[in-house]
Order: sequence, then C-alpha cells, then structure tokens
Amino acid sequence: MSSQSSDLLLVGRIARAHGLKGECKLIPESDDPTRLLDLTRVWIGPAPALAKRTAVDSVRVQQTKRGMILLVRLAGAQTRAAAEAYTGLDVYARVQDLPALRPGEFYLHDLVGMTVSTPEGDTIGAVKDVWEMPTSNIYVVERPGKKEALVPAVPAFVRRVDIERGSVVVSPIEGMLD
Amino acid sequence: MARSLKKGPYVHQKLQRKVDTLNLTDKKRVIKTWSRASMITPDFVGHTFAVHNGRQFIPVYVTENMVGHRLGEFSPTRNYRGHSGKKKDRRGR
Repeated sequence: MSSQSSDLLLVGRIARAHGLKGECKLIPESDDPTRLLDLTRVWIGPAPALAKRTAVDSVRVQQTKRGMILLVRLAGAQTRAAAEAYTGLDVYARVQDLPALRPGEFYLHDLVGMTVSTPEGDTIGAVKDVWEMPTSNIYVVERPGKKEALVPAVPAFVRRVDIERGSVVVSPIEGMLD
Repeated sequence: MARSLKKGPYVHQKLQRKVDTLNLTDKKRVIKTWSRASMITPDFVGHTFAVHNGRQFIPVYVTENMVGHRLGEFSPTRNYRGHSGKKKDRRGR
C-alpha cells in the first residue's frame, strides 16, 4: 500500500547498520526523537515519491555525545547485511502516525506561504522560509520589491499564528523591516 | 586562559553606548552590530541585536539565559539547511 507523498514527513536518515541483528542507526530529523518511538510503519527511500512502506519491528533510543539517536529494526531485516541495504536512505512517516500536535503547535513547513501582517492589518509579506537558529526560529518574510525581512519567532514579536487562515501577525520594532 | 575579572566583560564601546541610550529612553529598536565578540550583559536582556555573520545581519532577541555568552554564538556563520522540498517533523508554537 502506498501513501500520498504529500502526507509524508521526513523523520530521519539511516546512517549505518548497528550490531549483527539487523538494527539500523537512525539520525532523527524530528525535533523530539521520542515522537518516533511508537511508529509501527515508515516509508523509506531517497525521496517521498520513491519511498516504500516498511513495517517497524522495534525502535529504541541510544544516547550519544552528539544527542539522541534511534536504533530501528525494520521488518524483514534480521541480519547486518539486510540492515546495510538501508544505509543512506531517508525515513518518512505519515502525519497521522505521529503523535498529535498539542494545542497551539504547528509544523514549521505549514508556515511557508502564509501572509505576514501587523496587528493593525498592514500586510508585510509572506513567509518564505523558517530558519532554525540556536535560540529561536527565524521567519524569513519575502516582501514585494524589498529586501526580505527576518523576524525572530519569539512571543515579543510573533503575536499570533493562524494556520487555518494562513496568517501570521507580527509586531515588528524599529529597524526590523529595514 | 580566561579573561581577567579585573577588566570585566568585553563589550564594544559603541554597542554599550547604544544599549545604554535605549535603556535610558525605554525604547526598543534593532541594534545593528558587527561586534560578535561582545559579551551579553544583563542590560542587554529584552533587546534585539542584528548580529552580522559575515554575509547578513541575523536578528537575535536576547533573553536571560543568554547572559555571559557572546553575541556571535547566536548568529551562525555556516548554515546547512538540509535539502529543500522535504517536509520535516519539526514543530513550532
């Protein structure tokens, strides 16, 4: 059974085989790797459109110096050689298979294309990209005929994000839209 | 070797002057700076700095837990943003 590639979210990348029993090391792309512990199926491939559905036998966490990684055993992979076949491939999961978002949360990719305006209703532009920075995300706002503006995604500036309406309300301070 | 305590934290003079002016007038505006080596002091909290990363100014909103760090730490000079076109399991609020 295939899934619409638009439903699939990138959750990680298989780095290498682990051990002799068919486990793979998964470098998580998810901001919280524990969200992936209950997955029973994933899609594996170089791109969402080419990914093939695969059942997951087990997932466990391994703490490393660089952070948390996951050890995944995929259905049918009982040996190291079988696990090595997955090396370098991306792992995708369906949005519906992941834990539901908490109230007020949204996926960052949903912001792209949303209209950015001021509390007074003046349109500034549209979100072109979201950069993940050491302390907070930054919304890259594309403005017609002007240089793109960078708005830190902190409550002091981002007043409201309405995914249904496709709007982000920001209150920029002097110098932010120069 | 650590910086001598006698000297106090390093903050570029002009930057400190700008912050002092804003604190006196109780205004908020983005302070542009190239001084990545300036240490964040408690009077920076709540201000927004546009810190140059060699190519562009990255806005940095200073919070309490950033005190003692350098401004440059929050304005990365190398940004691998991954392959475009792939939706990732990353959330905001």
